[in-house]
Parts: sequence; C-alpha cells; structure tokens
Amino acid sequence: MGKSSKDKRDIYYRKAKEEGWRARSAFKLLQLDQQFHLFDGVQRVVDLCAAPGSWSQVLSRELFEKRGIEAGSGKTVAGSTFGGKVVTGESTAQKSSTMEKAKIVSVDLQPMAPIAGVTTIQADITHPQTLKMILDEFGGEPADFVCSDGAPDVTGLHDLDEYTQAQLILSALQLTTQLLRPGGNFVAKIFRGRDIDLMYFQLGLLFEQVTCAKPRSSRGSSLESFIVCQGYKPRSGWSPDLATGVMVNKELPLPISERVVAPFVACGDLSEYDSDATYTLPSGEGVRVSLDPVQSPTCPPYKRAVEMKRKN
Amino acid sequence: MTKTNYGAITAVKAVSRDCLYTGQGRSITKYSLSGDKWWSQRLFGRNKIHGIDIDQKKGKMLVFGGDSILVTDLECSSRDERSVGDWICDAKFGSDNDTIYVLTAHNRVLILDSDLKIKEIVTCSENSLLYSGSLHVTEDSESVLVASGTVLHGIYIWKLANGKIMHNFTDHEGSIFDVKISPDFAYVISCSDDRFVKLFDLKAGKLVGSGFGHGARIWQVGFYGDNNYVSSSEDSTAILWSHNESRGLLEPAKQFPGHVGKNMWCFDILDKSLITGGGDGRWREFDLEIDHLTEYDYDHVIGNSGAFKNFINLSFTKTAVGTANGEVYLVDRSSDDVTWSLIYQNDALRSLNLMAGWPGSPFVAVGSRFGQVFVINTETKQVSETKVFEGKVSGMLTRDLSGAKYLIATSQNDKDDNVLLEVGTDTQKRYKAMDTFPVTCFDVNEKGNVVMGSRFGALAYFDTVDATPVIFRKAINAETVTDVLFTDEIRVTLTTKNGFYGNLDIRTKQFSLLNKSSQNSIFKILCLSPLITCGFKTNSFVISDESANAQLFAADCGGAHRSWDVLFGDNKVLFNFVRKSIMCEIASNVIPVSSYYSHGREVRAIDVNGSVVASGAEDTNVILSEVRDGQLHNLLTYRKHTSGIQTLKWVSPELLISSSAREELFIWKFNASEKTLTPWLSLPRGDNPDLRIMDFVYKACDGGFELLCVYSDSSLRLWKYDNSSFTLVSDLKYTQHCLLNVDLVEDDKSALISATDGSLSVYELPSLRPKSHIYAHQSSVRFCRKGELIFSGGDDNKLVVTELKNGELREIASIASAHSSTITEVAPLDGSEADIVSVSVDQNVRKWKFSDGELKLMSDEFTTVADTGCVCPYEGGLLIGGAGLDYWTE
Repeated sequence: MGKSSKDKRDIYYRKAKEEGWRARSAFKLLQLDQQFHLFDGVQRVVDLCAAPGSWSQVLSRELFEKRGIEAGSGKTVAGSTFGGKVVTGESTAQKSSTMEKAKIVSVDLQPMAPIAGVTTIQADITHPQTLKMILDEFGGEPADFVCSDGAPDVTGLHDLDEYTQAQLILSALQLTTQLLRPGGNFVAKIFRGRDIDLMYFQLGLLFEQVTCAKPRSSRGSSLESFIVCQGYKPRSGWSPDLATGVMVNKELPLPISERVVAPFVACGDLSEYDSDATYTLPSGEGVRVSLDPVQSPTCPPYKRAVEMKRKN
Repeated sequence: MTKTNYGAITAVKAVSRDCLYTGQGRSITKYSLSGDKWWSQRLFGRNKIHGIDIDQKKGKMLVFGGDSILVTDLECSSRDERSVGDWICDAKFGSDNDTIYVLTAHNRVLILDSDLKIKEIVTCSENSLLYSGSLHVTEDSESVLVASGTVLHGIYIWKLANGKIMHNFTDHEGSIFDVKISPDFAYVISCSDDRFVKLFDLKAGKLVGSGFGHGARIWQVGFYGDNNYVSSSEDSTAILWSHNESRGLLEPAKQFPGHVGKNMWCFDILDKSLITGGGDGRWREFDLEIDHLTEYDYDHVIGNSGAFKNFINLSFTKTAVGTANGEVYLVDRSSDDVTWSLIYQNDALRSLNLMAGWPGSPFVAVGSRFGQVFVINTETKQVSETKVFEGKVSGMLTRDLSGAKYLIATSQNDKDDNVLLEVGTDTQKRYKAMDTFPVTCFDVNEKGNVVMGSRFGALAYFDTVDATPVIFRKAINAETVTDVLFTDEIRVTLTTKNGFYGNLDIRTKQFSLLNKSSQNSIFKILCLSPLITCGFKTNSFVISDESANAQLFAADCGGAHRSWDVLFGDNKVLFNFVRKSIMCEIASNVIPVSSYYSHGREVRAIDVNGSVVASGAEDTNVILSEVRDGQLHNLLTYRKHTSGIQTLKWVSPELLISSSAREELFIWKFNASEKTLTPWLSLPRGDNPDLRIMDFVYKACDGGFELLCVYSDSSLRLWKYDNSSFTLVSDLKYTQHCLLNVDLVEDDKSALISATDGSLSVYELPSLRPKSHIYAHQSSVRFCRKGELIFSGGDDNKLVVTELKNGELREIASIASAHSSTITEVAPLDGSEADIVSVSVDQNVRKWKFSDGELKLMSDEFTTVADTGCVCPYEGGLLIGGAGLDYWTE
C-alpha cells in the first residue's frame, strides 16, 4: 500500500490510515462479518498469512474491545523459517464475568509489529511444527474460526498467480482441517479466475455452505474475492490437493476436472463507501495531505533493490 | 472458427534462422528470424504454453504449460494433451531413448516414457513449493540434476538419482523466479523477487557473483558463452551480464530495451542472437555482440587545445571531424588501422567551426566567423568558398534531394536573410528573415518549395523565394521544431523537441496525424516510411521505429547537451558523441521488428471502424490496427492519455472518442486515407486526478453534438458542443456509487445508466429527472441494449434481461450463475442465432438468446485472454481484450 500505488485512489486506503488500520483490507473482514456474523461466539481464532496485521487488528478489536474485555499487550514471537518457536505473551487482561477471554493467534513468515491481545508466531504455515504451536496456544482446544488474507507475489502471469494462490489456500486448508472444530468457519482470499470453479468443488466437500463473497471495500475491478466456508464437516482421509491424483494406472489423464459455481454475495451495506468510486475530500482538510502508512512493509525482498535504485 | 491470440509470448525456442517457435497463449507459432510466419497451431484446451523442448534428431517437440504436457512432431501436427496434475516448472527430453523428465511445483520429477506413461516419480527430500526450476539432463541418466527455485526456501540443487540435496542456496531474498545450471555443471545462475541476478559455483557450493541492473523483477536467466549471462525482466528489457570474478560482481555489458509496456517473459539464444518474447505479444531479435565503443583523444589531432567540435558521418567508414583549431579531419575506418588525415585548416574557422555534410557523398561544409561557407570535398581536398554574410555564420543545415546538395546558412544577425545554396552550382537564394525565427531545420522539394522550422513551434513555408511565407506559430506546440520533411508538395512531417510528430497540410493548416513519441524528445527523422526518429530519453540516445512502436537502438551518452551525429541505414547505426572531451563512437547492428504487437498491459476497450480496430488499455495508449487477411496489423500507437483507458468508441466513421481517469475524454478525427488519428477536442475537466470517465454516449445534433458521460464519483453529465465550445447542459449525482455504463433509450429521450451498487436507472433527457430504478444485480453492472431489451451482466455472475416499457424497468429473465466469475462485458450480436455475447474473468465467452421468456446458452467457448475485460463483435467473429487480445473469425 505504497503512496504511489494505484490503490491510493481508493477511499478505503485513506480511511484505513485515518482509523489506524495497517491495511485497508481490515474493512473487508469487517464487511464479511456484517454479512456472515463470523465473530459471533468465537473464542479461538487463527489468522494465517497475517502480516502486516490488519485482520488481527480487527479480530483484536472485535473479540476484546467490543466485548468489553481488556486485550492486554500483544507479543511478537520470533521463530525460524522452518517451524518457528513460541513465546506466548503473558496477558494482563481481566476476565470478563460473562465471557471467557478469546484467544487470537496470527501466523506469518514475515515479522509483524505486536497487536494488543494477539499472539504472533513467525513461522511457515506448511511446517508441521506450526500446527502444534497453535494448538498449544489454545490449550489443545480446536479453533472456531480460521481466516487467511494471504496472497502470493503476483507476477502478471494469471495462470501461475491463480495456481500459487490456490496452493496457498490449500496449505491454509490443510492446516485448518487439523485445527478447526466441526461446524467452524474458514475464510480465505481467492482470485476469481478461470479455475475458481475447481476450488469451489474442493471446498464444497468439506463445508456445509460455500459462498463467494465480495465486500464493497474490495474493488470491483480486481479479481479478488473471499471464499466463506461455513460449517466444517471433517472427512477422514481427505487431504486437500489440486493434483487430480489419477496416476495409479501410470497413464497421465486428460485435463478434465469437476467444476461448480459457488453462490455470490456482495457484502457491506450500500450506504458504505464504494471502493470503485472517486470521492472529493472535505474542503476543510486542505489539499490532499499525504498520510503516512500506519505500518510500513516490514521487510520486503526487494527492499535493497529499491534502495540501490534510489541511490543510482 | 479461427482463434488468433495476440497475448504475451511466454516461451521461445530458436532452432535455426529459419525456425523459431513461439508459445503465445495456447498456440505454437513457427517463424523465421527474418519475420516470415509459417504456421500457428493451437495445442492446449485451456492452458498457456510456458515451455518448449526440441529433440532434433528424432524430430520431436515437447510442449508444456500449467499442468499440461504433450509430445508432437516439429510441425505440431498432432495434439494429445495430458495433465500431470500439478504445475509444471520444466520438462525436457532425456538424452537416452524415449525418456521425458517433468519437474512439478511440488519439487517432484516425473520420469515418463515417450507415450507419456509414468516410469517413476522422484520426490526431493525437501518438499517445498516451487516458483521455478530446471532440469539438467546429461548423457548419463544417473547424473541428471534438478535446480529448484522455491517460494520460500531459496534454491535447491538436487540429484534425480536419489532425491538428495547437494546445495541449498539461500543468498536471495524472496521467491526464486528462475534458476539454471550451466552445460558444464560448473555454475548455477538464478534470479528472484529481490531483483538480483546471482551466480553460484556449483562444485564449491558458494555464491561467486551478484548483479543488479533491472528496474523491476527478473523472470528468466540463462548462460551465454563462457563468462556471460542473460536475464529478462518485468521492466521489459534484457541484460547481458559479464562476471567480474575479482569483485564478485555481475556487471551489465549490454541492455536490450525491447518490448512495449511491462514484461519480457522469456528468451532463447541462437549463436549471437538473443530472441525475446514479451508481454506485448511480440518477439524480437537482438545482437548479443557488445556494441564496440571506440574512443579518440587529442593524440589524433595536431593542436592540443583542439576540442572536438563537430562530426559528420559521411559513411559507416568515414567521418569528418571539426576541431576548435579550425581544422577538418577525415577519420577513415575502411581498413583495420583507423587513419586520421588533416583535410583543411583555416584560422577563420577557429573556435566556431560550424559543420554540416551530405552523408553518402564526400562533401562537408564549414561556416566561419566572417560570413564564409567553405564546401570541402574530403576526397580531393578541394575547397570552394562562398561569402554569404558580413558577420558570423551561426547555423548551417543540409539536405540531399536526389543527389542535389542543398545548404541553408543562417546569420548571427537576425535581420540577415537565410541563404540557400546548392553545392556545385552558383545558385544562391536569399530568404527574407522573419521575426523571432532562428531556423532550426528545413527541407526543399523538387518544385523548389522550402519549409523551415524554428523555435517556439514556428514553421514557415515558402512557395518561391520571393513569395510571402505561410507562417505557423506553435504548429504542434510551443517547443522547437527539430526536423521537417516534405511528404508531398503540400504536406510535411515535422517533429518537436519535446517528442511530438505530425503530418501537416500546408494549405488547409490541418494535421492528419499528431502524436507523441515514446521518446522524451525527437531531434531528427531518420526515415519517413516507416517513421524512424532519433532523440534522447534522459541520459540515452535512442532510435525508435514509431510505426512499430519499438526502440531500435539506445546508447548511454550522458544526455542531449553535447555534440553528436548519427548515421542510420541498412540496419546499421553509427553514433558518435563527445564525453569529457573524448570523441566516442558506437557502431551497432539494428534488427528491425516484424511481428504484431499488442498493449503491454490489460486491454480495456476495443471498437472497430471498417477494418480499423481501435484498442485502449491500462498502458494509457490507444492502438490503431487493421484487419487484413484475417490477421491484425499495427498502424500506430497514440499516447495522449495519461491514465489507463476506460472506454473508447467510434461514434462515426470519422470520429473516435476515448476516456480515462483525470477526467480525460478526447475526441479524435480519423483520416481514412492515411488511417491516422488527430486529437480534435477534449472535454473540460476539473482537478481531481482520480476522477474517471467510465462511459459516454454521443449524439449528433443541430450545430454540434451532445455527449452524455458517467463518472466514477457517481456523476451523470450532459454536455453540448456547439462547434466552438462545450457547455454543461445538466448534471446529476446518482448516489455515491461509481457509475459504469450509459446509453440512450426511448428514442434517445432518456438515458439508462448502471452502477456498482447493482442498479439500472432511467433518467429523462435533458432534465435528468429520474424515471425508473431497479436493482438487477448485487454489485457492478455492465449492460448492453438490443432493441427494447436490456441485457446486463454483473460482478455477481448473473445475467439479467430487463424490459423498459412505459418508462418502467422490469426484470423479465435471469440466470444466477451465467459465469463462474465477474461478467465484465455484454455486447449485442447481429443475426438471429444469438442476441448477445458475454465475457467474464472465468475466461468463458458465451452467446445467449432470449426467447420464450428465457435466456438460452447458444455457445460456450474458452478464451486464452485472462483478466478478460471487453468484447467487440466484428463481422461474425469477435475481438476479446484483457491480458492480451484474441481475434476470432467465423
């Protein structure tokens, strides 16, 4: 969300900075919740691919602040790329009389600045150790809700990008199937490209209800949507894999796959801001004051290259 | 149906100069490097081609892309596509009989037989997700190596024989986009998200070189010779690297700026040629030979204070050099020993030394402080002197017209005439000086008409020497006119210092073409057809083919503020310039471009006028192309918009309108005989750079026209043009939602609009009083009208038929999941077979008919174009735009 990116024309970009969100995607989760009531009664939540942390910020606010529970200070947990290690933040929070204190765990390979009440694990979601670390945080209890706003580095080769995104979702799903309680919910970012119907089919095998949702804060001109999977129904022996797995007879199959279209829901109220629209700023604010990001990118791989380019 | 894709070229394989295979979309096309297109074959059902391997001995070709693979002959006459169930990073023929290796994204290698039956699957001991990888096939199947470029864990080099990892290179940051092993097993080259190219010693297992030079991400790397490497990048260039072992650096030795817009996806090397494939759908050939830079210092001249002032390339072997000592030398490179010979010296030429010449002849001219012009034959050393002014000669320009050598001399005194001389004759024509008109360029035609360019955009045309000139002020704009050439008796092509060019009719004072080059500045026209210009882009001297929208040559010389000269012809360039008092010269080969190019970014609008196709894209350009023999051919790229195009439409055979952000809406006049565009009008605009004009509808009326526009800030505005200016007749704010489409309904008495809130609304014209409103969709709506019916597609995958009767909108039919993703455009079709066609980002193109109260699917076809954004029916076929362009003919 750099200052010069095309996204800056988006009203939510500015609103996010004004309201202290680390990314405008915070509004997407809020609008998804409006439609699907994702946070109702939720105690244990996992936020995958969480950096820079706007979804964790939303979770923290919704599960602590809104419930009248003090979140306490968050802790960042340093870990290695291969599994990581956990140091749980000691919470100073007072338990509410009516409700048990919620637990939020955020996982990302990138380092993340601390968020109140959130335990951050710096680890690879595909690593077996990661599962154990999350479950330890929950005291062995399963999660009520797993979400992922992760996306790969988009190359511009749409087929490769959609494949990589699908792999990311399947990795998240693989972890989710071992974390989520039956009946629990799973939300992930998807690209609605040419093979999205294959993905719908796979997810339909594991959840009662699969919906493709587009929050109004997500631009209509982008391929991004969110897959909202409600009512987890575990299937023993199922392992998520896009590979069609028909190699038993040593014959490579023809490229045919089962496809299904998930129902579409636009979420967020029509009275809310439209991410495709152009707004005129209130005249009192002066001439388009540039706001600094709430949280700068922690450590992108191209950081050094950008510095070198600037120098030369 | 023939489906031709003009999208990104994602694979190239050069076998010989007569045989180049390109993978473009789902098709393989065979070309010769001279530009002949032999054939094109579509091989895959849905997947794009990402790689080609050739076994020449057996005459077999291996093609892969996505999870698809097939083996065919060298003419692609069979197509038995198979799936390996996972993304393929690389596939290669084995060296022994009938083995094929396939590396997939889960770090697994499938070993297949020639019938694509699985012999064995080897999984690497580290199960990582790969972005890239390559197979290093050897004579001995036991020693096959795999280089895996992972998303998260750097590079793995592993042995196929046992799946064991030899090295894990983690020197890059971020995902690895390509990794290759050298043919001799000695080195590994790689590139990643961190924009570095890195070289590893395979035996020692350590980093030995690191290179930085691309302005964006790097997609492919490869080896060239013993100590050179090539990379191609998102910045649409390739770099040739050399390895500086002592410093541990990879240093750029040559850069190839080859493609339009973003992305040079792939390349292959054949002998000394680099063949690249770009996001613009074009392949290009470049010479990998490093441009030879020769430097000359003062050792070559007699006087040691004789700074190099001027040079004229008379041929590719001979250059005349003028010094501040008043000397003229001839540099002769025709033999191996370059010779410098003093041709002429005259103290009258000291310090000033103006020089001009006539390439192709031995003649140069020098001007003096005392008003003399000396014409020197550099072969015979004969000199003829003409006195033209009392004072100093301040400028000299030359032209060769069918062998006749003209020179125009201008004086320091701006009251003096401009004097035209013809070499070898006594002809001397004195053109009266004009106010504030220092001559910067001129041309003369067979009839003896003369045209002169000047500063501040001034241009003067002289029918005869005594006639009153026709003077244009700000002919194109207020910048200096840098070159002018007669195209016929009354028309000229001119260029400006800030990079514009145009065709001007002297009589009517009308432009038939007016455009901006991709260069920042134009200094000279090197060729009229195709239009080839030269100029400067920041620190580089650049030669561009304007018609082909291709940069042909670039040299980093430090910028325009220096003496320079260029000779261009026969696909050769000789460019010389002064840098730090040293005279430098670069000789290079230029390889012309032959294949069609599309936009380097997503195409957002297409419309057709006769056989002329206009397309607009995220790259802000409007491209005119022409349909000939069932193929698209480029006409020209227009660069007037400063933000991505939203919509463009031919509103009449003579007028094109295009719109974009920054409230840009341009009305262009089309010249049918030249097939060119000239900007005519632009709509008044405010100061909000984000405000987009999403759509518009045009209606001619008495004394002008009306234009109804919808904006991204929810405005609907009715403009009227009365042949002198625009007036805003009425406007309205719909809600806060971005409006998307607009059209006229009810015999043009009402307007129909759609918005991102899923609505369709009708407003009375011109009052904009609301008449009817329905929510046909959940969010973004694109619609088209056919007769009384409105067909709309939404972000919600839904297709709806709405009727407008007595001013009321009423939904009469719908299909909830007409597509599996956003419907981006619906367009009406002629004929009775189907009513409309819908396109969606699910890449399906579906034709529908509305009958008996129902929408019926009539046909369903898959398009190669991802991020599918627009469709334009054309003569029974379709043009489809998105990430690339498809042209389907019936």
